[in-house]
Amino acid sequence: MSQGQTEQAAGTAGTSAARTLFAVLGGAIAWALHFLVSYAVVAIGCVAAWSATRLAVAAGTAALAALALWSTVVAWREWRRSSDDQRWDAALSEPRGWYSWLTTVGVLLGMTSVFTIVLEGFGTLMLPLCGWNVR
Amino acid sequence: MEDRKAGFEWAWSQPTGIIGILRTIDNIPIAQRYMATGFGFFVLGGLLAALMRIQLGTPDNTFLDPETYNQVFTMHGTTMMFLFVIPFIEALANYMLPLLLGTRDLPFPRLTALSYWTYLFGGLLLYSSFLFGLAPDGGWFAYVPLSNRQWSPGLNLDWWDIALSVAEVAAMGAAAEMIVAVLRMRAPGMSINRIPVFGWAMLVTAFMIIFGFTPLIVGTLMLELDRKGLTNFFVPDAGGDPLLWQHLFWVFGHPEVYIMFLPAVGIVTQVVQTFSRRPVVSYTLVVLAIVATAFLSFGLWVHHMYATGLSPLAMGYFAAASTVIAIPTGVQVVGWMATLWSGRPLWRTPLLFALAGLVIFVLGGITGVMVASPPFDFQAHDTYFVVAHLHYVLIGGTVFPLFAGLYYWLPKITGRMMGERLGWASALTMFVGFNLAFFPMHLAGLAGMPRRVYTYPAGAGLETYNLLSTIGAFIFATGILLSVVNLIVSLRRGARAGNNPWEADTLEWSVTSPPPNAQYAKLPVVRDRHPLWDTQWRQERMRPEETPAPDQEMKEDVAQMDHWPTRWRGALVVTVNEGRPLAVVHMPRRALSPFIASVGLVTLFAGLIVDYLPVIWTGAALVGAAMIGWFWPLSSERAAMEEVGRPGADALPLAQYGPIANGYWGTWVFVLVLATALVTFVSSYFYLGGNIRVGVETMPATRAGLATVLLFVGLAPMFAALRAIRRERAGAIRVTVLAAFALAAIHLWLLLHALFGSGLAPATSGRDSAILGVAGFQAVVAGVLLVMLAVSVLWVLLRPLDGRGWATVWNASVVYGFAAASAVVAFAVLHVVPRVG
Repeated sequence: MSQGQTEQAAGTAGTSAARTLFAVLGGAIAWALHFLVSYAVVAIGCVAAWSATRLAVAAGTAALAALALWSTVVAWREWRRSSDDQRWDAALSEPRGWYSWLTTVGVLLGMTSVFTIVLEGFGTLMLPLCGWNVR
Repeated sequence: MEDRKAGFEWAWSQPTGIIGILRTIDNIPIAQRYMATGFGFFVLGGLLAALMRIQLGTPDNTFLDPETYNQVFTMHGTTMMFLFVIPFIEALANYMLPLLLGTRDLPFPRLTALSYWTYLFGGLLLYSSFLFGLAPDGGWFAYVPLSNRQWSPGLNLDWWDIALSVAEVAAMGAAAEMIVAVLRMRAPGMSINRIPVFGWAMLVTAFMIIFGFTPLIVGTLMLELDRKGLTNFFVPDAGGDPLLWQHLFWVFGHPEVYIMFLPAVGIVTQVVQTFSRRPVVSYTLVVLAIVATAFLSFGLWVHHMYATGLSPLAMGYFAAASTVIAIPTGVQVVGWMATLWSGRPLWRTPLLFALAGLVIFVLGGITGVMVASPPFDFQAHDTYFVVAHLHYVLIGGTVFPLFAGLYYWLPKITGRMMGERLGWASALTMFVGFNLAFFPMHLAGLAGMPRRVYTYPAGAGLETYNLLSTIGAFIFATGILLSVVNLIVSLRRGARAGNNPWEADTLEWSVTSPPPNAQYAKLPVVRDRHPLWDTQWRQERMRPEETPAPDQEMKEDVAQMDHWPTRWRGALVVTVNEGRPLAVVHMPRRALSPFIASVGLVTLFAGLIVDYLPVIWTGAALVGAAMIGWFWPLSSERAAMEEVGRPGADALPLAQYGPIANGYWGTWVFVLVLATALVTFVSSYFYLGGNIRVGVETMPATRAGLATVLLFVGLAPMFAALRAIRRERAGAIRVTVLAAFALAAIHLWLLLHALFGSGLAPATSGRDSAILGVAGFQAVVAGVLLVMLAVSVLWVLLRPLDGRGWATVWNASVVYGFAAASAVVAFAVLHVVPRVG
């Protein structure tokens, strides 16, 4: 086994497939869940006239934003572990090995997801819930 | 070695004669037919557009009557969306992916052929409606209640619904191919971070097809059941909801835009980096943008429904997502611009088409951000502004890049160069014609011209815009014609292309033009993301990536595959992340079953259109016969089993069953389809107010509960069967598979008993329709599982220690797991939620 592959193997040692998957796609999946859950809760809450709809959506947003953030942090840690002291800007240009590359994608996708969840969350705070005349 | 070469060439030779044409399952000839058929439908769709533009060229025109106009715009949209763009992209991917990835064929060659024939016959079935004067006339999105039986009593919409389903089957098949190909069948050393951007784009697109097309298939099934008077999913008088159709359609329809655009991202990236003579700026960000776009694209669908009276907050979510998606799209555009800026651009026709498309797409993206805002959308909704926007996005984002891809890859496909002068003339004419045709539509829309009107009155201020659009459309068509002439001239007199006329970086340019049928007799070893620039970079000490030389094990694996196998077709399977050789996979050489299955499917569906049982049964019988032929043991696989060892041997094992087999991965893709369908049925159930007491009263909970428990109990023998396979114990294999089969059979029987004894009245109730949807889906899943287990039982009874039988058991175990989970979900939805809620 060559030197480069030994390094790659060291980078992935102790990492399960589930952890890698969470690091790479956890944020995006949290966004998808946030989107669907928020939309469903608003729709059902408006039909059933729940008084706590806005609170439920806000709580869901906070929880799923935290999940996306957690995934981003996991991706960041995995990247640090596998990047062999490479600088972050250099990793963006060309990460070392497939695992470092995958976790770089995870960090960026996670950050995008956190941003999108928070952006959509602003709507929960500002927009009328079920009709333009109802707050 | 000569014997080995001769044997290898025999293994990969194509069948000849008319029957041979029908039996061919190789990706290259099938992809060529796919492309030719797709282009044929493009021309037909274009002719329909020309008819529309003639009609709208002058006010109060009577060239087309309103009924014909309805048929023409419906078929134009349907053709371009379902019969041209998606199939053409799939065709290009079918051809190019194995070459780009460094493998010999797609993972499921018979599925490739089935997809093509089904698409061809489905398209012909749809167009045959013109012969009977029954062409679909409800728009390409067939909104209910207009497309309900009450308002569209003719067969027009049945034709649309059913023929479209055939084409959808083809798309799903192609998606499964692409997923397994990109993940599992790559050149040794092509790790996940070295996959060409086109490969990434097609992988992500394939997943989007799975998640997007499935709700459409479920929706069209519901619509057809409604039209046959069997259910009331969308009939408001009976408790159904027309808006459910809009949700199901657009949860497919908006991702569809990106299903068309993302492959274009792949094409444009390949073209831009080749003609800039440098790697694309930040491969990582471009791939990230593709993945992010795919996720976000599933959060946009409601922006087609702003005018339906949704809550402001719900609209806010979709407005936010619709705006945010501009970010990854922008990343891609900036990436290409930076690549050009920092490279040494060679201004050849493919690059010109790519840039023309880029300009048009960016304009369409800007109007996209405009219509993402609900207040603006309320004004522009259903006007020509939207027509202009969608054509800017689709033609700029897909058609121009497809032309770029064709000019780029046709020298590889035909072996001849396309003419540069005619290419430039075509690109410029198309660009001018396109903008003249579609830019005035923005203004016509803002002036209040609605979509889908067959004419407009004189003096309404719309004459000039429409006349310009008509002139522009014909100029655009002339540009396309120039490319057709270019192709014909190139085929007759074009310069020989050689292996790599563009001095490009990816593997497809390492083989002859046109490529040999086996593509890679000697498998390439990849050490860099740009394998053909790799040598030059090494000489110039310019390697951007530190890559080790292939180790001894990989060298031995590659040497084993050199002009081998010779008695059967084989390709290499690699690990997903590292791209290390894992196993050898056996591939069939030729088969008539895909053709017969397609004929059967289309016959069956044609019978469904006219409700004629003999035709339906004939179709079903053909499909059944074809499936028996399909799964009949192949002698070539026997030969593969004799030559290659099972897992654990020193050399590469045969990827025949279990997690190393392509069939196992294909089964997981199938389960993804089933899971998406389950979510669609359950969402529809809740949308129609399904959590109601009537569910408890009409479905016997005891039988359904027992059925669910039994299926769960069946998981134990199912997984015990896998353990018995690992230990190669014939008796245990037989007993466990039989037990799993018996429990699944009882599950289905109880389920059907509960369903038919339930007193559900879907023919009069939307809510009962929703219940039927969930319960009926579970019954279908159980039926599929039972068929798979029946085949497994046959194998293990006759040959319990045969790897071919083990493959069916492994695959059935995946579906078994899903069926058990699905049964729990169905039971919870139909019997627990109504009691709790």
